[in-house]
Amino acid sequence: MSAVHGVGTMTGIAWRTGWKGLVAWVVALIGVMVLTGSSIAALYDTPEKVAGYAASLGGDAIAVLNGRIAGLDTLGGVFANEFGFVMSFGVPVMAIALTARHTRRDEETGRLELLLAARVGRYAPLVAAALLASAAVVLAGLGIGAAMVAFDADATGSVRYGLGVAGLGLVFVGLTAVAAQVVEHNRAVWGIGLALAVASYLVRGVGALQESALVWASPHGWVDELRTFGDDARWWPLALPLAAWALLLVLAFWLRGRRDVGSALVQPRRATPRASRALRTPVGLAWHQQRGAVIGWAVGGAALMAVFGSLAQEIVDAVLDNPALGGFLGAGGGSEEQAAELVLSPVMSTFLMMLAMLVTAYVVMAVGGLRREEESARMEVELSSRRSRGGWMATHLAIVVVGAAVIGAVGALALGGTAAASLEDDSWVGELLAGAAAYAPTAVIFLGLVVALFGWLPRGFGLAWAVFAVAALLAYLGPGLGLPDALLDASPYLAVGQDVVGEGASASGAVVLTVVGAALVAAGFVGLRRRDVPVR
Amino acid sequence: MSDHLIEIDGLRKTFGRTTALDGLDLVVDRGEVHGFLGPNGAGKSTTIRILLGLMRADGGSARLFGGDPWADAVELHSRLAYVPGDVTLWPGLTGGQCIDILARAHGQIDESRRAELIDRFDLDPSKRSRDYSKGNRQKVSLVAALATDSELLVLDEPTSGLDPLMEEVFQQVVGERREQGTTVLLSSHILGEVEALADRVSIIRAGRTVTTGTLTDLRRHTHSTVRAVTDQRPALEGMPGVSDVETGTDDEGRHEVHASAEPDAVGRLVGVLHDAGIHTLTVTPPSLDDLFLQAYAGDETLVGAR
Ligand SMILES: Nc1ncnc2c1ncn2[C@@H]1O[C@H](COP(=O)(O)OP(=O)(O)OP(=O)(O)O)[C@@H](O)[C@H]1O
Ligand SMILES: [Mg+2]
Repeated sequence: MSAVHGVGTMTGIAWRTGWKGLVAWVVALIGVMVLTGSSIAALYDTPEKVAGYAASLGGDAIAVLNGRIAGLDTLGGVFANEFGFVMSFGVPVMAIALTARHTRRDEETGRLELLLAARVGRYAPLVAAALLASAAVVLAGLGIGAAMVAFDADATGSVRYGLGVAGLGLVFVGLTAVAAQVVEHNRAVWGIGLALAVASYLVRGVGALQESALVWASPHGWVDELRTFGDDARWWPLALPLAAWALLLVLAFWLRGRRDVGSALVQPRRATPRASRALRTPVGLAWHQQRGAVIGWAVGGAALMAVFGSLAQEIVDAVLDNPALGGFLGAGGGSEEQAAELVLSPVMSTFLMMLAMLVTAYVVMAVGGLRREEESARMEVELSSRRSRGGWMATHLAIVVVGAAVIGAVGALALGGTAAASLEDDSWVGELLAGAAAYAPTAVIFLGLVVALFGWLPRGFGLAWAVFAVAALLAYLGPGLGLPDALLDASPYLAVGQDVVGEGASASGAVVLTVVGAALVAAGFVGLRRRDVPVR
Repeated sequence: MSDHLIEIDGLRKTFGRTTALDGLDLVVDRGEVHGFLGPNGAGKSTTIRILLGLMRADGGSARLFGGDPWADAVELHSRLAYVPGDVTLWPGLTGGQCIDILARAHGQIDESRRAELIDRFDLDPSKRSRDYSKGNRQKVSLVAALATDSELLVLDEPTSGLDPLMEEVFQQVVGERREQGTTVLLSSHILGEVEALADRVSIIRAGRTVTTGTLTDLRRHTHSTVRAVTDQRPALEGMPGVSDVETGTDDEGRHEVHASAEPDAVGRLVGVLHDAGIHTLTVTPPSLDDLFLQAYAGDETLVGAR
């Protein structure tokens, strides 16, 4: 029996157990492009309007978020720019999810052991996982390209863009495959993958703003360097992601050959045999379980925000250098500070919105951890003690709330501190902390959603991530697509105010979100008291 | 208060279209080790969860320490310790830390007993729980429950994964706890364990109690196998309590007889065989395995034992 025997079998199994997720990712990404394409095509229906698009963006500031997109005066370039943020995170996350699922996650749950004991070669599961994930990202990329063509973007450019997107996905398939060999737990694989995605995104952002060679250090930058819809478009940068993909997979196989099933290259240490006094209390235990996640999210969020904040002066310069805009702002007769404020407040609001999304994602993930408690039967043991169900959940939620507050506060301080340093204006610290506080209701409403789901519909917990995805997409794409305000307000991230730094928060939005969120939390407690434990 | 720590009557529970419990009865008296047996999916874990107030019954009644397990869950729990069948411990914590945390949930931990049990179960408490083998993980749960002073131990298949040596230790420890007056509800598939520990057993199938009683009681209601070679043909036709009669002749013309007899009928049967001139005779009492296999497979002759 060769070491790759049973690749077909393994691919079949991986497909049968994971096809729903795979199809959902491909359809969702293509769907977002279709949505973007149809709205943009309707909004920018003449060449003149398309040519005016770049000017409406406020200059180079946008390059921090979306990279330097070539050909912004063509329909394809506009599509690419609008899709930029979804691509930057959606594609890497898809690659991580699909690859991790059939490598480390299956191994961790012991499913792989069962299969390897049967007639399946040692490398077969890894080959199958890489094959499926790679096929999925390529399919998504081609679908995205096809959607652009369907809305009248340049055909060659669209295909090039689609392949570029696929290339980004392939790099993350390779990175995840390697991470899955190095660390022992699915959570750690995700941590590494996400950290690399954020790092690559940030490096590209800095490189793009400075127009430096730094963009070449980032797989995200490689997509931009295709200069897809520009006059200087080229194919050869596609070789970079392909080479990286191949090399990373070879490395993953090599690493796989050097370890046993279930083990990892990084081996665990021995530790203390007694639980500390703190760990023996429910709060201490809950904190112990959340600690790693809170620190990870706080550090990641702070890094992201610090990079954004430190670019503040560069963003102002870039905008004021733009003759059309600079003239407009200067004509107002205001001081340089006022001009900076005018330019920066919407940008800073967007950064804070990203922070709010991080915080809510943490909340959804952390409350999702209660499902792990239930599935592992730990919840059963704890509830068979002198603890009430309400008390059990309240303890965990208290830690989640503290964790969310820490992540939000640290991120806001990082953004405010670095922005203040960059602009040499301390008032930004307070202003951005206040702005971040205005986003607190978004965390409350998501807390309500997930707690209610846990109490009443524990099997449907995945719904929370779907709601999160829709809310985030609406907030990113909605305003640019000119959707009606009523629809935009359905996204909590916009309901609290569309420019909280410049225009302040919407009081009514904040009240509605907080009240509904609190009611949902209460409902979740009622549901938990009435339901069976465990629900599997 | 009555001496029934657990009293379950006509318990029903459905999950969607699955009927998990269909009129189950169970009584556990103070101070006894009660074996709780049944094939996979029979409803043992579901019964235990209802008893602990984790799940709500759809019908029938369940009393724990004379109280309502759903309404009074928190108060009742201070008197018991529960070991679920398949628990994944906190992966980042060591076995010793898990023991402390679980024991805190069960009640007051007895430090000297904790140390003694870790030693007897040959457990390394400074290893992280994710690095334990299945058997060692199970030991962590057991040590935590057995090291507390609970009045009632509810153990759901507690020894799955233990090697024979550790199984032996488990039986000793539970035996000691019984001496001290602890009541134990022990769901298990391991017959030797039940035979060694249980004062009474209840066997359930498809959500109903098939039989309940002491092992002697159960044995009394099952058939013995009788084989004999006799000189003459014995007159077995129409004997009450004797069934499955097969007769034949061997090479030397003697009569071979095979029959199964109810406990009361064995004496009469042997008498008849004696009259026919016994050459060889074996009487095999029902083995425990037969007993369980009959009950698991749904042999209705056992139902009478209730
Ligand atoms: N939470 C649940 N949701 C749906 N069905 C369930 C649930 N728990 C148990 N069941 C079903 O109820 C029936 C009884 O299950 P239970 O776990 O009580 O059996 P058991 O006797 O403990 O079996 P085993 O010996 O395999 O542990 C099974 O058909 C099972 O599939
Ligand atoms: Mg069970």
